[in-house]
Amino acid sequence: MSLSRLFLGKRGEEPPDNDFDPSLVQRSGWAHTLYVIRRDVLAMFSVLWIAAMLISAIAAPLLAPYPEQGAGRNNVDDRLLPPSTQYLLGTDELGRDVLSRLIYGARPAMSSSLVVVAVAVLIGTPLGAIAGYFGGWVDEIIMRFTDLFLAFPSLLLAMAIVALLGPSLMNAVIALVASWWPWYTRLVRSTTRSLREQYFVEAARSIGVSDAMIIWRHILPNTITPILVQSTIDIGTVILATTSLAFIGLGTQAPNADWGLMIEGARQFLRQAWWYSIFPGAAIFLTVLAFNLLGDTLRDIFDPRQYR
Amino acid sequence: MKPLLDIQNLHIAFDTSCGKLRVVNDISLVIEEGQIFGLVGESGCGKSVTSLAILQLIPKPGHITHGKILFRGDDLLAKSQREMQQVRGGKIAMIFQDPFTSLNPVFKVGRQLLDVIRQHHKIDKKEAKKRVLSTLDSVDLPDVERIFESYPHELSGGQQQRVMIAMALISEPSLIIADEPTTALDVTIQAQILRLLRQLCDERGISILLITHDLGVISEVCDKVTVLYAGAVVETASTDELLANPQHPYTQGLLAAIPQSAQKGQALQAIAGVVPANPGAITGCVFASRCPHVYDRCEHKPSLFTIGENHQSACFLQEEVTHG
Amino acid sequence: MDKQALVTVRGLVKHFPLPGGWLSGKRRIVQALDNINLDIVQGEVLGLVGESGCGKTTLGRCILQLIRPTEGSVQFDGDELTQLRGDTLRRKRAHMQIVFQNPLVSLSPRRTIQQSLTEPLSTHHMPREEWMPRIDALMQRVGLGIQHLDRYPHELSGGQLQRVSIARALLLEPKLLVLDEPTSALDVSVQAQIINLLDELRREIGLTYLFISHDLSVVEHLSDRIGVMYLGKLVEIGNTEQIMKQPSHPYTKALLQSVPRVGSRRMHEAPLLEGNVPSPINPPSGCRFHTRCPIAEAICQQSEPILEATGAAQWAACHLTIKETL
Ligand SMILES: Nc1ncnc2c1ncn2[C@@H]1O[C@H](COP(=O)(O)OP(=O)(O)OP(=O)(O)O)[C@@H](O)[C@H]1O
Ligand SMILES: Nc1ncnc2c1ncn2[C@@H]1O[C@H](COP(=O)(O)OP(=O)(O)OP(=O)(O)O)[C@@H](O)[C@H]1O
Ligand SMILES: [Mg+2]
Ligand SMILES: [Mg+2]
Repeated sequence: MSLSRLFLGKRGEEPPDNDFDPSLVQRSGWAHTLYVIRRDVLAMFSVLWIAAMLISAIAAPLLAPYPEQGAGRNNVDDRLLPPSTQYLLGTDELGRDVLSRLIYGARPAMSSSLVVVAVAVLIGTPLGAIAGYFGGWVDEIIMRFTDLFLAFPSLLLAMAIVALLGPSLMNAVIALVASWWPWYTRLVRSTTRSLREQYFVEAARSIGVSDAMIIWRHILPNTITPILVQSTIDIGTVILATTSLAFIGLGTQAPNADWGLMIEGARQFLRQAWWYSIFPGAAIFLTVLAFNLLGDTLRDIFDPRQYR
Repeated sequence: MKPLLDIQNLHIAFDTSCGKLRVVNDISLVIEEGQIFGLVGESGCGKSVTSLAILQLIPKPGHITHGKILFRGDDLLAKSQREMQQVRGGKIAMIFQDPFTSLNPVFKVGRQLLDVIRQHHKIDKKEAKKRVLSTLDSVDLPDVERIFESYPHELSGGQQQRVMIAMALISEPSLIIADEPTTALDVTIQAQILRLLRQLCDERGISILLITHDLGVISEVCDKVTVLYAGAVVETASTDELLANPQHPYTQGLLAAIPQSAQKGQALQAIAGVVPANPGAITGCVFASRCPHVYDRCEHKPSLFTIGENHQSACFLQEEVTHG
Repeated sequence: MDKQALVTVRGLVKHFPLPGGWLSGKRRIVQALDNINLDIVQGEVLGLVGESGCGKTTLGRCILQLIRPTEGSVQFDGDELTQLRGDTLRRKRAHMQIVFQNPLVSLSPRRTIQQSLTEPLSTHHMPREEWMPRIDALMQRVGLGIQHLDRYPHELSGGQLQRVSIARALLLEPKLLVLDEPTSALDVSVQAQIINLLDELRREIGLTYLFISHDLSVVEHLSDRIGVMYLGKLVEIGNTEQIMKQPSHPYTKALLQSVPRVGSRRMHEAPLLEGNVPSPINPPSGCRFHTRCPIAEAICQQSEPILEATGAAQWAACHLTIKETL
C-alpha cells in the first residue's frame, strides 16, 4: 500500500457518474498520470511543493527578501532575531534572514540531487541493460563489479571518497554517484531480464534485428517507467544524503547556504532560537516526503498496467 | 420441472475512471433442477460477472444495479453478506478456471477440504476425514490417502481440478457454478472432467451452470444453453434445438464460423466487425453493428421472443416469423 | 516424396536444463524434443497438434533458430541453419518468419504500428522509398487501413493486432511462415476472419506454413498434412484426411475422440485415456505413451518405436499398429 493511501482514507473524489466513454481510455499514459495526480490530494501537494523548491532554486535571487544575505553576507546587527514582519522566519547567528538562506539552500539540494540521480541513471542503465540482455559471463562480470560498490554502506563510501578528494559539494556529488549507480544497474538488469523473455523481443529477433538495436528500441523504452519511479524516490534520499554530508562538514562549505549546514549551525542555539533549526529541518523533511509520495503515486499508476 | 435458479432482468455496472461501464444489461435465465445449463459467449460478454453476481462476489468497482436472483424462490440479492456465506460453498458451490490459483499452496489438500466441511457441518474430525476421503474417491481420484496428504503443487492440473470439484461437492450443493472449468486443461483431461460433471448431474441430480466459450463443450455436455453477446441474452434453447435450429443471426454466425470437416477448402463464414466497447450505451439491438440482416427495426431493443417450446431469441426477425 | 522439401529436420533434440539440482550432483533436464524427423514440403501447410507442453512451440523455435537445438540438423532452403551464426543467420531470417499466439505481447508496447512495420524493412536494408508502398499494400491486404498506422498496440483489438503481426511477417516476402497458435487468443467470430486470411494469403503467394495449434478443427481446416506430438516425440504424421479418418497411433485416436465437437454428444461414454500426461523431466521408458496407452504390451515399455509407414502417406511410431498393418 502506498504511503499516500495510508494518509488519506478516501482517495480523491468519486468516479464520474456519466456513461462510460471509450475515447477516454485511449488517452496517453501522461494524460492519465496527470488525471490521477489531480485527484489525489497528497500527490498534488507533492507536485506543488517540488515545483516550489525548483522555482526557489532557479529564481533564488528574485524570490529571496535579502538576496545578499542568502548568498552569505553577514548582518551581525540582527543576530538571532525571532520571526517578525521584517524577517519572516527569523535570523541566524550572523543575522542573516533564515527565509533567504532557505531559498538559497534549495539550490545545492535540488541541483546536487538531480545531478547525482541523472548521472547514476546514465551509468547504471546501459550496464544493467547489457548485463540483463546478454546474461552469462557478461552479466557475471558486471554484476560482481556492482556488488563491489554495494558492499559498502553508501554514506560510508561517500564519506571515504570525500575525505580522499577534499570536502566540497562537487566532491560530495561524485561520491554519491559512486554509491548510487549500482542500484540502477540492478533495477534495469532485472527489468531487462523479464523483458527479454517477452514475445515482442523474440519477434524482433525473428526479424533479424541486431542485439544492439533490440536493446535500444525494445528494451530501454520499457525500462523508463521503473527508472522514473525509482529516481523520483531517490532524489529525496539523495537530498537527505547531501544535507547529511554538509552537516558533518563534507558537503557544501560556508558561507554558501545549505539546509544541512544550517542545521549544523543551529545546533548550538537550539534553546535560544528554535526557528533557526526548525525551518531548515522542515524544508528537508517536506522535500524528501514530497519526492517519496510522488514516487509512490507514480508506482501505483504504472505498476499494475505495465503490460495490460 | 421446477426452477432452481431464476435470474430476472440482471443489470451489472462497473464504476471506472472513464465513466460507468454497463457490462450486463437485462440478463434473465432459468436453471432447472438436475440439468447442466450452458452459458456461452465470447470473451468479455459478461459470463463471469453474471455467475459472480449469483453469489454476490462481483469485484469492487462493480455492482448490481437492477434485478432479482431467486434460488428456490429465495431472493439471494436481499440476503446479507453473512447469510450469503452460508449459501456459498453450501447450497451453491463454485469452481474456477485455474485450479492451481484456487487452492492454497501452503496447506495440504486434505486440510483444505476438512476446513470446508467443518465450516458448514458440526461433525468430529474422524467423521469429517471419512467424508473427505469418500468425496475424493467419488471424483475418481486414485489413491485418495496420498492425495489427502499432498500439497496442491504435487498434483497435476487434472487432479487439482478434481480436488476443486470434490471441494464443491463436500457440502452437497444443489447447484455448482463452473466458470470455464476445463480451459486450463489438456483436451484428454478436459474430456475426463466433462464426463465427471455429466455423471454428477445424472447420478446425483446436481444442477451445473457451465460457463464456456467453446460451443463444442456445450454440445458435448449441456442440456440447455443461453448465448450471451455483449452483456445481453441473444438466444436460449435446449442444446439440440440450438445447434440444429439456431435462430439469432449471432448464433448462426458463431456456428458457421467453426471449421467443420465437410467444408475443407472453402472459406469460413466469419462475422465481420468487432464487439462494441460499451454495450450499455447502445439503445438498439447490441448485435446490429455486425448483423448481416440488420434493418430499420433494429434501432429498438428486441425483447426475448418465444419461438417454440424451450426456445427464445432476441431478434425482431423471429418476432415477425412467429407472429405473421 | 516427389515435391521438394523446404525444411528438413533430422534427429532434432532439445533439452532445457533446469535451475538448481547441482547440490545432488545431478542436473535435471526437460527433454522438450527428442529425435524429431520431419520434412516441410514447398507450398504445403503442415499442421502440428498435441497437448500443452508436448514441444510444439519448442520445435517451431528450434527450426527458426530462435533457440538453438541441443542436437540434430535443420536444413532450410539448402542451408544448414544450425551452422549459421551472426549476420548470415540474421540475413536468412528474412525468409522465415513467425507469428505468435498473443498479438498484444508480440508487438512492442511503446512503438506505433508503423514503427513496428518499418522495422523489418530497415533491418534488411530495403530502399526507403519502397517502405510505405509495401506497408500500405500489405495493410490493405490484411484488411486494415493507413489510419491504424499511428496507433499503439493497446489501441487495437486482438483481431486487428493479429492482422498487423501477419502483415509484419509477410513484409519481407518469406518462404516459410511458422504460425504458433495464431488464433487461440482470439474470439471464435474473429478467429474465422484470421483463418480465412491465412488461407487466402497462402494460395495467392504460395507460402509454406508450419501451423501449430491445439485446436484440431482449425488444423484440419487449413492443413495438407498433420503431425501429432506427444511428450517431445512426433508420434504420427500424414495426410490430413487419412489422419482424421484413420488415425493409426492410439494417442492420435484418443486425441481425436477427446476434442469437443459441435454436434456430438459423447460424454456418457468412457474417455479413451485415463491418467495424466507424464512429466518431460523423467519421461517413461520405451514408448513414451505406454503409461496411458489402452493397448500397451510388454514391448512398449522396453523399446522405443520409430516412425514407420502405416499407410500410403502416413507414418506412426507404435510397435502395435505396425505389427497390425504388416
Ligand atoms: N474489475 C473490473 N473493472 C472494470 N471492468 C470489468 C472488471 N471486471 C470485468 N470487467 C468488464 O466486464 C465485462 C465482462 O467481464 P467478464 O469477466 O464477465 O467476461 P467473460 O464473459 O467472463 O469473459 P472471458 O471469457 O474472457 O472470461 C468485460 O467487458 C470486462 O471488461
Ligand atoms: N525456456 C525453457 N526453459 C525450460 N523449459 C522449457 C522452456 N521452454 C519450454 N520448456 C519446456 O519444454 C516443454 C515443451 O514446451 P513447449 O512450449 O514447446 O510446449 P507446447 O507444445 O508449445 O505447449 P503449449 O500448447 O502449451 O504452447 C514443456 O515441458 C516446457 O515446460
Ligand atoms: Mg470469464
Ligand atoms: Mg506453445
